[in-house]
Amino acid sequence: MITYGCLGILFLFVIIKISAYFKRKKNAPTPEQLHQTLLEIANTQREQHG
Amino acid sequence: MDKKKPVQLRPYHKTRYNYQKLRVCKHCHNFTILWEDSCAYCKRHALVPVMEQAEKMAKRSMQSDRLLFYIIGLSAVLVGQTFWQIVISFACMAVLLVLLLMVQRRMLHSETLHALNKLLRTHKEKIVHGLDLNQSTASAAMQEDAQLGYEIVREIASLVKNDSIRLQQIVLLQGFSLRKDMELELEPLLLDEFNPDLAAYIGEIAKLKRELINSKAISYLLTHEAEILHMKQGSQIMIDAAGAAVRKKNYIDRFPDFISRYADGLPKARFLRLYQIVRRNPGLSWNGLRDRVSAIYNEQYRSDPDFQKWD
Repeated sequence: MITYGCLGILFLFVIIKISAYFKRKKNAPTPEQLHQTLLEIANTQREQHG
Repeated sequence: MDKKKPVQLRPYHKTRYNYQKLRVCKHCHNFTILWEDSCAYCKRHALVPVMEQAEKMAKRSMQSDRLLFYIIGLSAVLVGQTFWQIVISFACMAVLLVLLLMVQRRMLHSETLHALNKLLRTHKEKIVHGLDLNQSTASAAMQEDAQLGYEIVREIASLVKNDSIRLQQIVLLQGFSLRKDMELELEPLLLDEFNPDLAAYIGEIAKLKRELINSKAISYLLTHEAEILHMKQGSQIMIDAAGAAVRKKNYIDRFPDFISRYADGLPKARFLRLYQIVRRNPGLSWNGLRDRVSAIYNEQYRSDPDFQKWD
């Protein structure tokens, strides 16, 4: 019975992970957003540093 | 006396996204936008592109998921009481592992983007510090070799957008003997304030690469026209820019007064171009530009054979 319990957990684990991957894919930043993020870091932070 | 230095600038590789040029040291996490072989901070040969580092981070995270998968799966196998329970556990593990691997492979790109986002956001200070180091390198290079200094500043300018960097580029460019075959730029170098070096640079660009003279450059010249005209070569700069502007009817539509003011100084080829556009558009007066062109034509080019076919 413990075996089947472990297998159940394994199924659940895989399903949760796969769902998480798909959800993260939907919310993944686009290359354009990353480009903008880096520009903001390189410029906004520098202005703060003076 | 021309003190400009002839230079052969190394080709500038433009990337679609700025992070494609950024590299990080695997050892000390110092960032650099330059092309050096070793890290300027820890001196190790451990610089890798940030995208490569992000992919490594994404793969490591996926490996951790698989490790947890193996622990749960093998627990099921180990606690199996009968042969069939063990066989079923192995079979389920195999099927689920293939499924997990397939999904992970498909998601590697989006996970890499997430990892890169995390890498950039968690290392903001290091990125700024790395760019400061790059600027120190540029300052040191400028003292010894202006060309190398310019190439370094040009790389930094792909990421750092401020007037100080633009000014450094302009001053360095004004020290070089510019040629048509050079990879020159103008719009990214435009400043808000008047700068005589920038005005002189626009004048040179107007002669060498007319296609770079656009509405923003013309607007800059018009905003600071009075200051430019006080310069030694000021009126020539405005004439050259007007000559470059007449290559497109759009600029004549937008800046007829500017072109009208400097039309009489245009060289023959540029005036001919303006004349052709005016003749092709009989319905447009461009706020008096048409009359001005006619007057100059009557004064200087009436008997010129190059103009005859347009009469």
